[in-house]
Amino acid sequence: MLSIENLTVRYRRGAAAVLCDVSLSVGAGERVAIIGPSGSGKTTLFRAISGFVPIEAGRILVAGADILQARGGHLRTLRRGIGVIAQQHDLVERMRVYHNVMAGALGRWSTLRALRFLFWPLRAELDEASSALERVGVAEKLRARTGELSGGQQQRVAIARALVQQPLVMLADEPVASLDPDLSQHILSLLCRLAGEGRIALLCSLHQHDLAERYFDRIVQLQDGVLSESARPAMQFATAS
Amino acid sequence: MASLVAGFFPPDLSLSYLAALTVPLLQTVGMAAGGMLIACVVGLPLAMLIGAQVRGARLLYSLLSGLRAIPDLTLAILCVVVVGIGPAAGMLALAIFYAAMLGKVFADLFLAADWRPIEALRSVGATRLMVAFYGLLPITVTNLVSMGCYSFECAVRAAVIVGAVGGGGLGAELVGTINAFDYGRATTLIILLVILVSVLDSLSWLLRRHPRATLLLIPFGLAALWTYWPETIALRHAATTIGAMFPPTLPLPALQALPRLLLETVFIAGAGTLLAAALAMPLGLIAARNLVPAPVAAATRMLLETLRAVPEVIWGLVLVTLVGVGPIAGVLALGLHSAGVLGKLYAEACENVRRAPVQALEATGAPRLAVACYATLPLASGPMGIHTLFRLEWNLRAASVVGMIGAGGIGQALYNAQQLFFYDQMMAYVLITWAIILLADALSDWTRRRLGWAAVMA
Repeated sequence: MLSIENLTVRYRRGAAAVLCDVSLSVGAGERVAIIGPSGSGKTTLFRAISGFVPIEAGRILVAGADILQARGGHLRTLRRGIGVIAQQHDLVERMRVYHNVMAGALGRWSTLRALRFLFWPLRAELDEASSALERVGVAEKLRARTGELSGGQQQRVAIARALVQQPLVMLADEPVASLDPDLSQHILSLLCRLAGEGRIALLCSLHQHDLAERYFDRIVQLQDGVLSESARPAMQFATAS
Repeated sequence: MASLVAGFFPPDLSLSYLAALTVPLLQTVGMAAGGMLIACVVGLPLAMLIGAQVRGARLLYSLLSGLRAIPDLTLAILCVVVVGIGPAAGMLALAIFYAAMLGKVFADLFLAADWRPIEALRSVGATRLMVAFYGLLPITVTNLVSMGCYSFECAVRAAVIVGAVGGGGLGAELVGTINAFDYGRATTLIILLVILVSVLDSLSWLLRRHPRATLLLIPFGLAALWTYWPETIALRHAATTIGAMFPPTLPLPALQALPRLLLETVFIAGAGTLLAAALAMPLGLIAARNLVPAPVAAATRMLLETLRAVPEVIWGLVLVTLVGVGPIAGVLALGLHSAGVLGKLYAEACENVRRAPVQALEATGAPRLAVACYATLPLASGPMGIHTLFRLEWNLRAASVVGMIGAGGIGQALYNAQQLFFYDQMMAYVLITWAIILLADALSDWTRRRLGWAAVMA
């Protein structure tokens, strides 16, 4: 589903490569964790997959289409297939929760519909937002102001937004970095369960090796821009709740 | 001199005159509201285009920055020439100036907005317009509104000024009373102006707390547009007038006088800033609430507010009658207004110093004055220096326009050319003024970068 081939990224000509000849593929429904210290290039890898970083060499295929070759409308169509969950701070705090959740649908909505929804959301659209929120366990926050939610709740809203997007690939960049251990486990098991149910290719970066082993099918390691399969074999993810 | 000053008292507070001022007052506020409405309608979409980083955004941004460097008063003279004397000209000038200003300032806000939610929206596959409505606008709305309120406040002040060169309203009324040697009424107008500015201060404070109330200003702006829209738009006349401005030319005597005019302008700015700093230093210190007893501070603040509420051009109008036409009136005008501004900023700089070093000295039992000299002042001197430099930059702009009401320098030459219908010369002076200001901007940017000072809102 997601296939990265020989990817190299350099921010400036002549500078050290941030990502060096990285290859990785994630199948539909497969859950892969990337482990690596901060500054090892995880965020750059994710931003490169979304097409936000200029690439020096390599290819990134999403469902067979090369995202690096895509421009304008085609790029937007491809991005629609990639759901992104960031560490935090990528929700618009001033807006209501349902606005942020349905922002996931902007890729398939017309501009007119997007403008109308801001001021006049329809029953059916609110139902869709509400059912996505229900799947992540914060349905009661539908009409709350996003900034008033706790960190864990905001992370769930971000996942709900990714669900509404109905992506083929889900990228989670340290989704539990700022959460306490209990909440981290909840969020990770939720992500992995949803990816399994939706046959979504999940790529998730983490700090903690134990969490990666518990929830993911495969672990890869990123160190100084070089990717390697983890030495320790990961346990099969079987304890989905 | 003393008898001239005495001529300004007592102010004419008769009911009939106050009632007669309703129309100019409404005209002034209406010009500002109408001009700002146009400015928002034009400026916000331009800023959104720049914020969305569409192709050509950089060019658009430099165009707006360039346009913003033409002083409002200069624009007003151009507009008076093109659409004729009256509020329509003032409104048009304000609309152009503030469209450029809001466009640039809003674009800066958009560009500085947290990029993470915006990138998240783009990664969903949203179009640029969707990103604007679901990300940029909601993220920046608080700052947009407070910047808009601040600009409206400035626009009302500017509306008084543009009135003085033919834009109608309170400014025109003030010029009229001074030309008629009716100084008592001029004082009334200045008092009215001070009240208007303080009302605006509290209004913008209210609007910042209740951003939605800003929408109430829209019908007001529409009403102003409806009322002051020019009855006839003489396109052909406007085209011939604009045609007469090109190519901008200066005859030989004017060219020979140019270096003197430029020096005079720089002198007005420099001497005005110096005078302002000299006045503001003691006044600012006895307006700082942590240095003097509260009643003293409050009284000084009142004085500073009054100095600040009267714009340079209005001070200039009054001072020209006292000290005569020429650069000295300009220096005094800039000095008095800037003393009000700097005094307030100096006082705030003293109040905002870190508490710990001050308390450490107080704990040793040092007398108040010693604490001020050894802790508060040294700590506040950095920000005070920055504010003064900003004021110098501001005064270079002000010096090029304050001449238009007879206070010397390049502005006076510009105004004379307009009065004599030498439109090609007028345009030449407009372009020279513009160049001076662009140069001043570049110089102060360079200085700040050299000194590593962060931008501080002055």
